[in-house]
Amino acid sequence: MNTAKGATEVLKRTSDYLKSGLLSSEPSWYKVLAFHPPKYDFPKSIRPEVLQEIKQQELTQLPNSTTKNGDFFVTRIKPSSFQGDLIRPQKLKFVEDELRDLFYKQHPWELADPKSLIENEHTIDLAKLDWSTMRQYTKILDGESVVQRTLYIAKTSDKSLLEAYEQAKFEYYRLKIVDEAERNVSREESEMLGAVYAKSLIEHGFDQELKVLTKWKKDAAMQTQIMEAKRVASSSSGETDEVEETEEFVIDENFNENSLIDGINGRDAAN
Amino acid sequence: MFAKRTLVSRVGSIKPVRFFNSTSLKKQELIIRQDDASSPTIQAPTIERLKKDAGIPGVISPNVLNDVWFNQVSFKLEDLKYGMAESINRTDLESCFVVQSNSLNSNPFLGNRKSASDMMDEYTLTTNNKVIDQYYKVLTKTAKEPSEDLVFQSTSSIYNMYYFLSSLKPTNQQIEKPNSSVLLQTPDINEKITNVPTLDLVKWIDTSFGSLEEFKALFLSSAASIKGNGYTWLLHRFMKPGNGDTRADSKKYSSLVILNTYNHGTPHEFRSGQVSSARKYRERSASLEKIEKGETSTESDEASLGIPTIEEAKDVYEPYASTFEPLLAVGVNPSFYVRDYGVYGKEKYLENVWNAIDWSVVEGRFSLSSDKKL
Repeated sequence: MNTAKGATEVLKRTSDYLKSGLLSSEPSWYKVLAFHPPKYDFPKSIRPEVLQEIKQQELTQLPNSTTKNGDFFVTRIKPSSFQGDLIRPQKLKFVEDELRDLFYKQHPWELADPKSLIENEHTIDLAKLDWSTMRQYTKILDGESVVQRTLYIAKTSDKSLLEAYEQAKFEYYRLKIVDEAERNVSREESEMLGAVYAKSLIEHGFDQELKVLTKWKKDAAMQTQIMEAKRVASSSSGETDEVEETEEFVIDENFNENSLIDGINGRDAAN
Repeated sequence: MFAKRTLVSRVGSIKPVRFFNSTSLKKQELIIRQDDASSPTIQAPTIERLKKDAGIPGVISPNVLNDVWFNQVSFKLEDLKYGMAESINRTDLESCFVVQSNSLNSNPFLGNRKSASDMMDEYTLTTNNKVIDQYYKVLTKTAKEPSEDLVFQSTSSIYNMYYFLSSLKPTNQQIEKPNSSVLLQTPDINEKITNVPTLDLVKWIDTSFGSLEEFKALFLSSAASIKGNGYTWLLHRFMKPGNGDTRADSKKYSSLVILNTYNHGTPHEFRSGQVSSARKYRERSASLEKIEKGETSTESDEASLGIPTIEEAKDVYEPYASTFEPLLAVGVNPSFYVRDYGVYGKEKYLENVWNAIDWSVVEGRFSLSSDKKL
């Protein structure tokens, strides 16, 4: 047996040896290790359910798995084709994830609400909060609140998960309306009393865009004037220089594109 | 014209005369008829339903109502009279309170019909209540005059409170002080709306706000969000009638709107545009500073090219002049609710107010709902 691979099972193995009499006395570390077993199973091992899954696939994957008589060919899939699958990590499935997916699929704009992903990581434990109410003192109202409240309703009442989700969703709508009204009203009230707010990201973006558009409009007006002057000049001289004119157009377009990109970069830099 | 308990007093008298018996009422009317043009009667609007020491059952307790309506209004009325007496436009303001008798007003040829010259006059909002119309006139005259601030503030405070308290009817709800747990309370989504408005109003609410549920949520959360003093209004907004407009024209562009006013703000359009003019002032002073420093301003270039900024676009959003007809106000001054409902009781108070709204009174103010002339 490869003892390096079975390092985490050293306790079990030693117990077996003791039982069988291979070892006469307990090693000094035996009890310590029994009370503090390793937390993680570092070497990847083959789980029986994965093996079973592969065996079931064996029949369907092989092209001609049965003979004319209906007997199986005595054959196997090559180990190289399933070696990767054997040590594949287990897929973790949580009902919360499904609820989260459903909620954010139905309300994609809820993702636009800014959210800190790192700062509250250790201070907030969602399981410790009391989800008999949707609002929480230490947790901002967002999609996660709907998920936790759904689970609470499903656990405490006889509603199905989907019914609980619907209830939590509508409660969320109501609270969100209240929050949004409050935000707008307090902004209006403070502005009336003299508050001046910094520009929002959208307004800032609009200003940057306006700069580019103004420049574009100025350039376009100038280009139009030049073109008209040329047309007048060419018609009076009786000649047309098509090639040169189109070339200038191309340059002009590039120029505008560059300025647009500059504008966007400038906005990014400002952000 | 006067209810039993009115707050009528005359300019120049030392004490306001508060209560009349039937004989003094007749006397008062006689005096008004005699010299209405020379000395106007400045009075507070009366609400017949409100009785001293009775409160509004289910909404406001007797003590609070005595303080906010009966006592406060009499003080404000004194302020108003004082402000008008001091004002340089005294005669102009007092003319608002002159009661025009019908005999003087009616034309010998046209009777009570409007003459062409009358139609050319600027449109003014009229209501069922003559005293409120007088207050409205004072508001139009003082809203944009900084020197008339005392008159405006006291007029507006009585005007706003009238629209609030006169819209409430007594109910048998409980006035109670909730504890802090209401801060986290989750709304009951299956709750049915009680005290549904009249059918005619519901139709208007549906077209303006989508549904009654949406309207209630928006209306009450707008009111609950006011941090200081203020009112949330339900207004009927319509196109200001001009020459040659028929009733159908104004109906086409009219809708119900919800509006917040803060402190003694008035919901009428003649007070609007102050924020945008302040913004313009700030921009102008900023560009002047730039010129003083010798910097070339690019803003003038932008302006000449005709691309408006967000603020400019917001300010010119209104394509036509609209008039706002007040239908209902809900006051959220702490003085209205804190003594009865406690510091956590704003939602409970608003819920009680909603159930006490007398929708027939509200509909009575709505010029388009019945066959009243616009």
